[in-house]
Amino acid sequence: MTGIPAGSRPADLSILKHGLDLEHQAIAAYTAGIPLLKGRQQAVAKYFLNQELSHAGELAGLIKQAGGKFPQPGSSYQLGHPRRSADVLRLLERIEQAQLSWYTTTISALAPGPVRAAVAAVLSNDAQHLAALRSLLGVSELDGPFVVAGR
Amino acid sequence: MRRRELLKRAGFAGRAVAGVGAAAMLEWTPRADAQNQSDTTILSYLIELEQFAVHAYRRVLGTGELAYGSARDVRQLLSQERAHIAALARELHALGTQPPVGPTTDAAADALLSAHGQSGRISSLHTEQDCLQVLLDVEQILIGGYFSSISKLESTTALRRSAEIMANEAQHAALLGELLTPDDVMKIAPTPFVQGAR
Repeated sequence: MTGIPAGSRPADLSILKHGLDLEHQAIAAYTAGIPLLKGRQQAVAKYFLNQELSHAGELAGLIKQAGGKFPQPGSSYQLGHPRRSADVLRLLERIEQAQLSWYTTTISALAPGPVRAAVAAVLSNDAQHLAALRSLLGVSELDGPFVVAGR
Repeated sequence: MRRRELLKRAGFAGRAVAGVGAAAMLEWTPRADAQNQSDTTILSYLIELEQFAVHAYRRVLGTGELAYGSARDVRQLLSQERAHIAALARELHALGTQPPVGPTTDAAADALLSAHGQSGRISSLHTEQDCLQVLLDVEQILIGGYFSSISKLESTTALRRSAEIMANEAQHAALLGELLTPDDVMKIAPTPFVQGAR
């Protein structure tokens, strides 16, 4: 494998670890929210949950390869108390946006080029999730020509 | 996509950023064709790809084959591609370089599609399906260009901007996939690691 030096900079590991924390939070939110959804909304959420699991595995692998110790999922997350499907979709939208904010603001600080590309591949998939969730909420999928932090 | 394969591709494994075939080069020679390129070379290449996309979007809209809703969405995507060009051109200006001119003929655009293994052809747009498929193919090429470039760019602002655009191109692909096959959830986001076309 190329491009990820063992013993990477602490800054790189810190970025990846927080990214993994956010993936764990997303997995918890999808897992908790899926039973409250129905039909197409539920099918989409189940599909995205699988992709978030892949992201978590990817980031954990990168951290391990770089010589770091990856964080385990938390025992609980503050996800509020969504009751209706729209509440769940809005929660998932916020969670996806939080991931996008983190990745877009930190990607340029990652030193190894291949790790930046790997993070971009994950970030772009999360951007697709965000667009689809916005569509399910009945708003425009695209929030502008740049997927930026803090929208 | 396994991590080994993902990283191998991100590291390029000796592959050029622009895998354009000889046919395309007759009309359009991309500037990024080697490893260790400078930021100006990479940004110029990305602008050329975006210009290729604008050509494709304009051609599709000109066919009149799109239904009202699809045409509205495609016009929005076109306007976003133009915003990408403007943003990248600003980055390039900041580095003291003028923006290049990308492919502006159907033949050059089709050669680029073919070189990247995509099935759609700008010169053969007879149905809405043809139109949406070629735009999806174009988006895959754009995504692949950004994916490859992000591991090489050095400028912090260019890197961040490229990531923001790549994510937006991925959203374009999701929207086009949904227009093509509205009932297939998998077409929204076919893979958890978005890398586009090689």
